[in-house]
Amino acid sequence: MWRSKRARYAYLYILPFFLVFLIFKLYPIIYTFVLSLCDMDLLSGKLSFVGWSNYTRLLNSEYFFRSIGNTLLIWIMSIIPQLTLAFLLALLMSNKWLRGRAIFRNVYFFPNLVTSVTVGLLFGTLFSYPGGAINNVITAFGLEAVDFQNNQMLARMVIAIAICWKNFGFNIIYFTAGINSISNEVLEAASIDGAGWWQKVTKITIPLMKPILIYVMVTSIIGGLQMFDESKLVFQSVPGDATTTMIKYMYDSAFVRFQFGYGAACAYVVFVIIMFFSAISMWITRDRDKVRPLGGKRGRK
Amino acid sequence: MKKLLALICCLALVLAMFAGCAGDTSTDTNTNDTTSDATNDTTSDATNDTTDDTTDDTTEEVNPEDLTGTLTYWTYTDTAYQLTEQFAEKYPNITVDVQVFGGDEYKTKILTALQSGTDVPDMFDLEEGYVYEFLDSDVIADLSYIDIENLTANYYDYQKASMKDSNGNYKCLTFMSNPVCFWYLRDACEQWLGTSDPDEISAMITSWDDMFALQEEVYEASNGEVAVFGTISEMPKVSAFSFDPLVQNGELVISDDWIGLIDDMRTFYNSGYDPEYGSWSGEWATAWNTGKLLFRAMPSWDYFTDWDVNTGNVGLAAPFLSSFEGQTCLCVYNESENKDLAGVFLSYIASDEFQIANMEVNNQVPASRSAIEAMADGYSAEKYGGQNILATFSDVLENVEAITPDKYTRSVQNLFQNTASNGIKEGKDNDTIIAEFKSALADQYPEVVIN
Repeated sequence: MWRSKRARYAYLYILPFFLVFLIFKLYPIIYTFVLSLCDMDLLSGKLSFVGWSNYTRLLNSEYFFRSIGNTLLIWIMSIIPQLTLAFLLALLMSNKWLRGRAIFRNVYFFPNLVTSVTVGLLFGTLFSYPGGAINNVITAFGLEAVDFQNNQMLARMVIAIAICWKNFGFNIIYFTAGINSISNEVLEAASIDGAGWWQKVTKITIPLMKPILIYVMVTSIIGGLQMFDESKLVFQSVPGDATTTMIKYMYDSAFVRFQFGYGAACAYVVFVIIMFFSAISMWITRDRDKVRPLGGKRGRK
Repeated sequence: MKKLLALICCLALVLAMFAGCAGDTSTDTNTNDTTSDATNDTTSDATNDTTDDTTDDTTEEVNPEDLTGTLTYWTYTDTAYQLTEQFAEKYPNITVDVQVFGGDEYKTKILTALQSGTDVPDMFDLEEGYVYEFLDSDVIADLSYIDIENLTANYYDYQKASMKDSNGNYKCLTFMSNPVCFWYLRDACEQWLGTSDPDEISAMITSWDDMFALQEEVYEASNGEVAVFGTISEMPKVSAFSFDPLVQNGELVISDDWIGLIDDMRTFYNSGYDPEYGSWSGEWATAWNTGKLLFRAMPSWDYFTDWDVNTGNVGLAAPFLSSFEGQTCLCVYNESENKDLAGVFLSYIASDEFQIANMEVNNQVPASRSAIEAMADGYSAEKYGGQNILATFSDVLENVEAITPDKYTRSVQNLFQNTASNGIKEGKDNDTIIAEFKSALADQYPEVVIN
């Protein structure tokens, strides 16, 4: 009796979360799906059912597939240096002999406090042609100014650099937390056993940071594949729509051309794509020891 | 208990879904009501009331101070405060509650309000770039209830055309003109072209070929330091409303003019004299501010751009083709309880009295021909080196084609401009550029017939 009464209170306590979740999360998710199967009259909001035609149109759109390719390219060009730099700096700052670690950590984190819009405009100005700051440096060395905006791959790289610059400090915080959570005893034991710095990093630090790495990877995939602000603002127009990302394509469809049904279908396909890559990431970084318990199949028998 | 909770959750979800559907239905009903109400309003109450309150106001000379009430006005530009200040001087007992929402999200905000039918302002501004997505709807009042034809009788033909929906009904009011002119630097033109007189400069440039010849001349004379025109992407701005629209009655029609424009853009780009400053880029602004760029093709609202460094040194020349860009369109909510008062506001905004004051105070070029004519005689703009800019604007405005745009007009022009500019930069030929343009158009607007 006491247990069930207590349980009832527990349900009551969690009810606010579920109400908010139902109204502001689940309902929009389901409504977006309904919308993706309809065309919406702009001002009356009247929906007319069109079946899967928005999805058919999307899957036949070479521009949408191009936007997927752009997103992946920019994301890869951004995420690899971003995580590498963040991990190396976190390792460096975990050394007790380094003075002013707190200052470094804060300085590295500062770009994350800058809004994406500002970052976009800032990098657009830095890399503008022919008189942006970067081109001024290039020409100071007697080289020819580079038109970053009108070169598809360079334009993507500039956006990747902008995203990397903005986010690497944030990942340093996660990695530092992961490194600091590793017991000193384990590291000391490894030192006593004769392990060098590199061995400690590869055999102890990285394996023990796996949960953090998975978290950072998955959130980076989700965040990275949703990139929008920088791609919209760094360069206004790039040949071949080379910097149009999936979310920008969706935004233009829904909020520039007011094709809300098509935009909703686009949102769902983006959701599936992100889910797919997140699943792959989790599968790659899965804990194989848990998949195959001690002793393996033979042991179980 | 778990089952009960699951059941409640499902029920809540289903109810929420139905609530959404109900919203649609009610909006739908509202829309239908709106249609009938609108029709009824126009034929009975509203027309009579408004005719009594507004049109007759002007004829019966009702004392403006006798009119009282509060209007809500949503806009995306803070110049609206100045409009309402001037209105308040004449109608002191009508309060206009201006709410400014900046940025791209304004259109989503007004759209959401109109869809839901709650907290909708009595009046709202829509930007030319997307207004034609909205105008056909019944939630926007047909302005015939304020005798709009009479109020705008002195407007330029293109203005009248641009205020109509696809059925030819007046659904919005504009109170400004935004003619595109060649903005030039007087001292630099004097140095490199030998004159800073607007008429002489207009006479020097009667086609893009003239512009390219000047470009070459100045480029060579300045050892590549100075450019006359900055970028190919500004070229369609001059031509946009002189050519037939690219989409007519839902069908893509690419006239020879548009193909000729691509050829002109390519000629300029490949000439070796095109500095290709990105429009609105830092280089573009720097070149202009330092006298290394002589011309830019801009609408009259470029006055609001920060070019203080060249104040008094700017001139305006009428281009060889006439065009406009960036109208603000004022609409009335059809279900507004204050439609009559909104009519008073619109009537005032449409008047020469207001538009002359607006030009004097805010430098917004009147939409009314008679307002411009009333001011143009002897007009001298200090910031433009004492030029009679109204006479120049008038020359342009008289020649803008009277086309009633639709939702495709401006956006398809922009798509054409982007595709052509990028294609030329990538060295593509006309056929490839046109094929890419058609492909992009089909992706963005699959309903457009493309042959």
